[in-house]
Amino acid sequence: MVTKLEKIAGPKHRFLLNMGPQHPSTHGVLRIVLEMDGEYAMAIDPVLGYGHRMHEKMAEGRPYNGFYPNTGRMDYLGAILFSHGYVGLLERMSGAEVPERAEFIRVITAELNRISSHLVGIGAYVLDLGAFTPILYAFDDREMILDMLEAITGSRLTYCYFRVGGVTKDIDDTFIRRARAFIDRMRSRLPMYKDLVTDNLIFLKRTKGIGIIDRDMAARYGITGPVLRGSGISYDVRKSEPYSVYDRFDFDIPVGENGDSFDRYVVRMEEIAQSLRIIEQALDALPDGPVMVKPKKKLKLAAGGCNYTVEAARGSLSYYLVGDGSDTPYRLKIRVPSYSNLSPLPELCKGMLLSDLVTAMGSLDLVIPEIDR
Amino acid sequence: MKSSEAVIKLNEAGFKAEPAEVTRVGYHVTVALGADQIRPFAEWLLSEGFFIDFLSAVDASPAIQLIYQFAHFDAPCRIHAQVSLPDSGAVDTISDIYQGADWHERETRDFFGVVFSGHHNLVPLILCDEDKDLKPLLKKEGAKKSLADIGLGEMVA
Amino acid sequence: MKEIERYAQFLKDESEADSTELQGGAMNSFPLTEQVLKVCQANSLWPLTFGLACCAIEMMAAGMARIDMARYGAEVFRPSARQCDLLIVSGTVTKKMAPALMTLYEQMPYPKWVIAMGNCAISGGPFKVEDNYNVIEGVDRLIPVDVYVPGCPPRPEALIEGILKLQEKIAGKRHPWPQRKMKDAVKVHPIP
Repeated sequence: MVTKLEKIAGPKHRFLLNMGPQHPSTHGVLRIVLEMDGEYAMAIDPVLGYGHRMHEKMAEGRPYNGFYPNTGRMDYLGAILFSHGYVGLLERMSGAEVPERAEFIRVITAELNRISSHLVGIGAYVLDLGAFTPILYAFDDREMILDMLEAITGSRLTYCYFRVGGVTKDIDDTFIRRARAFIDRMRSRLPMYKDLVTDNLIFLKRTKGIGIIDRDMAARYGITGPVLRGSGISYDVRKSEPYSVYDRFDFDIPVGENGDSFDRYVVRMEEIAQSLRIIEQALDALPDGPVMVKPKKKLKLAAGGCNYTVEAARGSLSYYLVGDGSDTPYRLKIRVPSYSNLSPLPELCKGMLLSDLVTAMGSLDLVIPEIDR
Repeated sequence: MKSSEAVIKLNEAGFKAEPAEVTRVGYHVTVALGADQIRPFAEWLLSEGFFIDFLSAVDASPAIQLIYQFAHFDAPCRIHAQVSLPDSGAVDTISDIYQGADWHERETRDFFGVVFSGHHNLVPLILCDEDKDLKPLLKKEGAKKSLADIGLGEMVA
Repeated sequence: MKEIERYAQFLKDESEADSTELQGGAMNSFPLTEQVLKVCQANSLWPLTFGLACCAIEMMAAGMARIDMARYGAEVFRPSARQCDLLIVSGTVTKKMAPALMTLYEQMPYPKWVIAMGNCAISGGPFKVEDNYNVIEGVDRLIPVDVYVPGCPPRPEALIEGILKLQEKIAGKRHPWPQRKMKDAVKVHPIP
């Protein structure tokens, strides 16, 4: 692409612009080096690694059970979803039984966590575009979820709630009552978000047609999650390779039409409504019984590789573990969704205005320490 | 594409593919690849509409094993390929076929020191400059196990 | 590590500089104006928008409607270090991040304070392991720290307590400005 300025002045006037690692719109510690042509970003080079916390190395140095807390600290917005993947992997490898009630509780808490993650994602995205009010509403709704989860898990953010063979603590009537009240409240709030953000003319002008991802690009980069579904591809691990008890619930996969930033935002909004549906069904069908099978003190897994994929808040999350017959993993590879979702940025944003780059990047809903692991 | 169909097509295209027990290992098809087959394999997958899930490595004796995983948007079909790193320590890049592999290959170079020949920009991605040859995920002397001990031996081409 | 040498050099430069200059200049030679200044500083801390990891989300939560740091005058998050006087190190500092963090601290004008929020910033937290090759075990190896707020992550209330401690450190009193007590506790969130 040749810009107007370049036609007049030639390529010499280009300059480098450093964005991050401390920049409000890079959501933490991402750094991007941009080659600018006036206000147009002509070459984009993301620099990762500012939040690299050695999770894969740590896994090799501790027992299988000792890695639970780490799973919650990779994607701290969707900690339960990350634990779900790891616990599912260990259960697949060890063949451990999980009581039905525990599976239902897992689905309920995981979907609550997905909603809270999307709320932060949406709030922070609209904040990037310059609107401060929606994030106040989003955090207000999110605090209700945190209150509920805190009562049963003991922490507000980095949950360590799932274990091989179940969950640590049963949910009680208070939780169920609060969850039902939350469903009603959230449903009454969704039209408010629509009026405030989705129908907002400035928001529409800023996001429509910006950062279009098509099917070919998604396949070449391995894009998943709401970013992919915004492009009209209904790929969701909960449907395509159902895990836990997701195959028992009736829910839709919302998809977008054009694959632009606006569609990705709308898909997240609609996913909140679908998650509410799942929670409601799970609460209605919640079976009685134990929530935990007493696990072995020391978990030893046989040699061999095993993969487990779940749908985290930002896309498909895979754990690939190679065991060697001892009580520590030989190698644990974690495939995180934001990593693949960020990687098209240089192609996606080439020739864009800098302000549109922020729009496109914010719509990917990134968590940087998850990318760096 | 169904996984049974994928196995037949892969074998027709000259790759050694076998169906896997998905409830036990979590993927549908295993492929044992030679180091020279990586690029034709990736081209075949892209033409069939598969997306790249991840690319990584496992350090074992006698050679580092590269793990490639692909999946499909329309049908549950997860393809798992394993490549034994040749003695030269280098394999062909697929970052010009699957651009998403670019970062995965740079990360694998950071953590294991695997060289991807033909990669346009094989510089450290995660580690800082002073640690660029640290290779943190390589096993220490004595901790490295053989392929048979970690259950990956049967998948070597 | 060269960052540790850089910190040693920074401390040396600071000890050689005129300390009254660093703490507010000639105004500080009058006890009353000094006290007034300090009360003002304590009640209008401007933190830097600098989130590193999980703790950053709790820092955001502390600024939002439920917890509302604005009650203690510390809600004006500034994206530029030149406009800030409080650095909240909210999360894990890695080797790659260390030089950037030190640059940010050096860019802040005097007087300036630092809160180490969360176990990672205090000591490396859960990442202080035998095989550690990338995490700085404690941000006080790089920059001077005034208040430590433990937790993994700390609750937003804990961060507020950290800010109150910092106010105490600056002005010598826990509530340097008389704060209005609410007569009736207002239930913001009726829990069903």
